[in-house]
Amino acid sequence: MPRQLIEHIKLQITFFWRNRLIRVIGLFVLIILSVTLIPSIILKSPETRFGLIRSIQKDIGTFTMIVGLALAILTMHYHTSSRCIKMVLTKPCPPEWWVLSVFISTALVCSCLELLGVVIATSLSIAWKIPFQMGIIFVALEGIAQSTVAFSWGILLTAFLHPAVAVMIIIVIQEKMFYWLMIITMGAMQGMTSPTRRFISQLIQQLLACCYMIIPSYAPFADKLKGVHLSYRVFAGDWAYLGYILGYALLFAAFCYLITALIFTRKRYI
Amino acid sequence: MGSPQFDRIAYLPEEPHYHLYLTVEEAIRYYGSLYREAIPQRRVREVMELVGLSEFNDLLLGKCSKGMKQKAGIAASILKECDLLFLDEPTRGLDPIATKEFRDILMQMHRGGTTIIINSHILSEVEMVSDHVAIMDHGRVLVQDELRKLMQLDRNLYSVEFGACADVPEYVVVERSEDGVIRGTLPSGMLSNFLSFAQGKGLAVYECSLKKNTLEEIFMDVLKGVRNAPAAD
Repeated sequence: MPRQLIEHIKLQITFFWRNRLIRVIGLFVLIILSVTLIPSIILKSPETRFGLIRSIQKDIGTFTMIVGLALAILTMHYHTSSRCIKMVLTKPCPPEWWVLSVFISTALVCSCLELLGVVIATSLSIAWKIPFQMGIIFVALEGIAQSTVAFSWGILLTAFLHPAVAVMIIIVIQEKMFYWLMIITMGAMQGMTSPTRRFISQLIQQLLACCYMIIPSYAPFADKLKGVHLSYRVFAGDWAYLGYILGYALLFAAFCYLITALIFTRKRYI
Repeated sequence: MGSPQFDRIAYLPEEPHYHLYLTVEEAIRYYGSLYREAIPQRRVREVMELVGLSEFNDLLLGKCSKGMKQKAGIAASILKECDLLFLDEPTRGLDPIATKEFRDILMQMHRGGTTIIINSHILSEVEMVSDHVAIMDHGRVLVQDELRKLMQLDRNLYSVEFGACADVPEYVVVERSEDGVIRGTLPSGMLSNFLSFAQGKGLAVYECSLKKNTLEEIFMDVLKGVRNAPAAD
């Protein structure tokens, strides 16, 4: 890995560590997790302990996704709006390295948080004498993939939009929304007799299908992997799905990186 | 942006926006690490010492004064030996001692073969360090020449400073009169008349030399010339 890229990554990690807003977000989520989980750990009966382990890992996964997204958006916004990026871009260092460092450092933090989830879940399993299930690893890897998709999408949007607008888009515009709109349009088309109306509806449907394909999917194959999430038992076929999920996340991150780097090099920061 | 040419070109932006979450030393070290060959830690310390930041190495840039931030920017721009150094309003926020020290650093770099381009509104500062000057107005270069040529002596006027008296000859254009001293200019043809007048009155003459234009006067003359000129068709 080039030395300059490593220096950028170190810088981003320092930014994460010292940024007050990130600390507040982290602390807030941590408090919520503690308030809801600690009493459950103490009070739960032995029969429901397995469910609690699942719940803890799920919550840590959600927390990782939120934190990853916040880190990515804040890093992009802080460095471009405060224009300190100017000090970097007037050095003989490709801007693409800097963009890549945002992706890598955020992925590192997300991976560490998911690892923390694995450690907690494994420790509780050992403490409560519940047999270790590969599902713990499976869910953590899936969580890393989900967080990667989320923060990559956030970085791409923040490259050309205000972070508030980017967050709104991430929350509001989701693949499910387009899926349901497609279903509604299909239903409406069945009752149409006028060829013009049918043509317009078909056009809208194609457009919605296009959006559906473009908008990132945070949990692809969710229906196929329900069993893994419930029992933490992983069968041979499930690993293939995990491979697809990780592949999709990497591809999507690469796509977001390329577009962000392109936008970044086109903008006038100097 | 990020061009390999920046390896031999250093640049200090007008309003450098730094990574305020870094300490002074971390920031300078980070900026130094972005060159093709990383700047050694020893050089970072040396430059920090040179600009007077060594005792603040652990201070966050966000907590530094404007002058200290400017010093950090200067340190970052002189970290690496370069062929061309662009400085945009480099003495903003610097105290007089730091300004003098910075001027000395620039002179030393210039002697070492670095071409330094300073963009400044403080003309006295430019006058002190430059050997070539360009006057710009609205992005257009109006005059560009060697400073000594621009500031050449005005052979038609003498600058004089003498003891105050009640009847100052009319050929003396008084610029200032205070504390019993009159300062003004007179045409070179009237110099012998003035000296006779001063001798006759028994006045002390403190200064009598050919008038030298300051960069500020040149600047004003150039701008007035442009603004009074008829618009081109």
